[in-house]
Amino acid sequence: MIIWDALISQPRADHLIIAKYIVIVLSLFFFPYISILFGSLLYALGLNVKGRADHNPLEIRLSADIMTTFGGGLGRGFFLGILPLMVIGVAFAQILYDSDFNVVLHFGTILVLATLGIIFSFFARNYALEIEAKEKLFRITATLAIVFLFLTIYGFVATTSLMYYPGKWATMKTGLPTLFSAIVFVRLLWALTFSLGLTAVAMLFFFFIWGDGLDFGSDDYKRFVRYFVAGNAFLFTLLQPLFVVWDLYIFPEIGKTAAVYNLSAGFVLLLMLCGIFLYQVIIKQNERLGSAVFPLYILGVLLFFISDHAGRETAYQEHTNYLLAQAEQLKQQQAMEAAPAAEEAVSKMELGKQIYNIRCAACHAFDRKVVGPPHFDVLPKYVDKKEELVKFILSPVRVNPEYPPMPSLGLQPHEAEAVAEYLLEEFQRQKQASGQQ
Amino acid sequence: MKEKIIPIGIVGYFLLMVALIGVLGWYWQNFQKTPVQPIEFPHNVHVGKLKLDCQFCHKFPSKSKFATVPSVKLCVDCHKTAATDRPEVKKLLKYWEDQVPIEWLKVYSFRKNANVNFSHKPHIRAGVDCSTCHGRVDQMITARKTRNINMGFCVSCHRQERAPTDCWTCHK
Repeated sequence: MIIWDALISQPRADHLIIAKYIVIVLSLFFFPYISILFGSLLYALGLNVKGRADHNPLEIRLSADIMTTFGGGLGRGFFLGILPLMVIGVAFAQILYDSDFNVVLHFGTILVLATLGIIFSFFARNYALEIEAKEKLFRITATLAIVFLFLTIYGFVATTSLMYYPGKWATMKTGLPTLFSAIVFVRLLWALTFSLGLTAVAMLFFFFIWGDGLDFGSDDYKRFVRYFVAGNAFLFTLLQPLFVVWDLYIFPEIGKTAAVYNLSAGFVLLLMLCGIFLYQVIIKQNERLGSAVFPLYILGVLLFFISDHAGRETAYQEHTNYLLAQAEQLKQQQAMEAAPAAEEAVSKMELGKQIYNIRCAACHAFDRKVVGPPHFDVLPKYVDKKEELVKFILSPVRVNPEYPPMPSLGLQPHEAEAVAEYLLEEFQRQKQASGQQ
Repeated sequence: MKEKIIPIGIVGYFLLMVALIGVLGWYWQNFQKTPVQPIEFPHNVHVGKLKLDCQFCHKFPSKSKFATVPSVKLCVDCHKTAATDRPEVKKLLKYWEDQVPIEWLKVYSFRKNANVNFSHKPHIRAGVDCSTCHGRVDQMITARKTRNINMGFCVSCHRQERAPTDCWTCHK
């Protein structure tokens, strides 16, 4: 915690802008990577189990090929999964600085789950390379990896969804109740269909299009792989818009903005293009027609993350306003600290003058009525009664019905005392000056 | 024929989803969106920075059903001298000069057919803080809806605070 506190400082206005872009850009690495890892393990395990049951060598071979191509390497897992997640957590710690949202707990939990998922997927990949000898171990590690990666996705979806409800941050510190809310349920369903769709699309791209592709060996196997990946990609592409619309239907009012609707519509249009291409791949048995689908999916998820962030940003707009005000205050404080030593020592009288000029002078003057009465009319009764004047400044009451009531200024007692001292001193000075004239 | 119908069906399905998003967006834009006010009144300056009490401007929540918006005169009392160079204050002074009321738009309202007879008075007198329903207005620029004030919201608070939950309490 001490390291965390040292790492996360009061954000400046530009920090908040940078943090926003970091969240969008790094989510584009973290989320698709975890989705493909989860999807590939699920497909590989399913094909392995089904292939053994059906005595279908094509399914067993595809299971091994999926694991070889997409299975977790530890280096890849660190740079595409763990590192982006850690940086996203730090960025959110800046965006939600000094709020009731427990960033450390939420992102710490997801980090542990993602790490376990990546480690088990690494073992599953290694066992898949010797599938005949270590099939049982492959199935156990793949199942564990799937469970941890599912929980990672669930946790990430729930955490980012909880950010839409600033009113619940104080009471939902553990985040557990969020796991069972409608919005998280719908978003989780979308995330799972997205994961399976993106993995199938990635298989289409890396098995058939990218570089030399996969060494299929036989036309039978090539045809089987084409139908499997294009069919699954098509199915899960069709399902996603349903969850996007459902999500918008139950979307919290506090996060609604035109960008959310426009970008969601853009995302669905991109899915439409993907759907048309994938259908062509199936019908014309030509996988080259699907070469644009993987980049389109990545572009789609970029739109989704921008849309999601636009909604979240609107939801916690008040907290951002608070941070910007704090940043401005910090800037002024730093400017004062950087000022020469002589200026640093602001006397009580000078403090009173400063506060008076900022907070009082808009409504008051010594010799004339502005909003409130002239000081020459009201201060005589406070001469030698400074405490009473301080009391009035701290809790003003309406005295003269000819004037609007003076609002409470929210000053600290030492500030009110400084203002009172300045007022009485300046009153005496101006009175003497006018007497001499 | 089948070769043409299926692609048309796919495109139609996705376009239907885009149309549904459009309908949801249109509904939000026309019925739920926080309205754009004639003057961008910064609550964060007046409540957050200057620490003015809500009831300094909204005079009547403790005395009547409605909190009411302040008179232009109340604004002008201070702003005939304060921050007169700001564009939004210039707009305010123009309203005052022309003696035209400012047409503030309601941020919170109940559906007419809900027959809700809400009154601010008992809530303020029971010590309910304004932010319970209106959110952190001290951090907002123009006021915006942060809570969906529906029956669930009201009833859960009434139960928690042991306030009456009889239908007649709100629906008259």
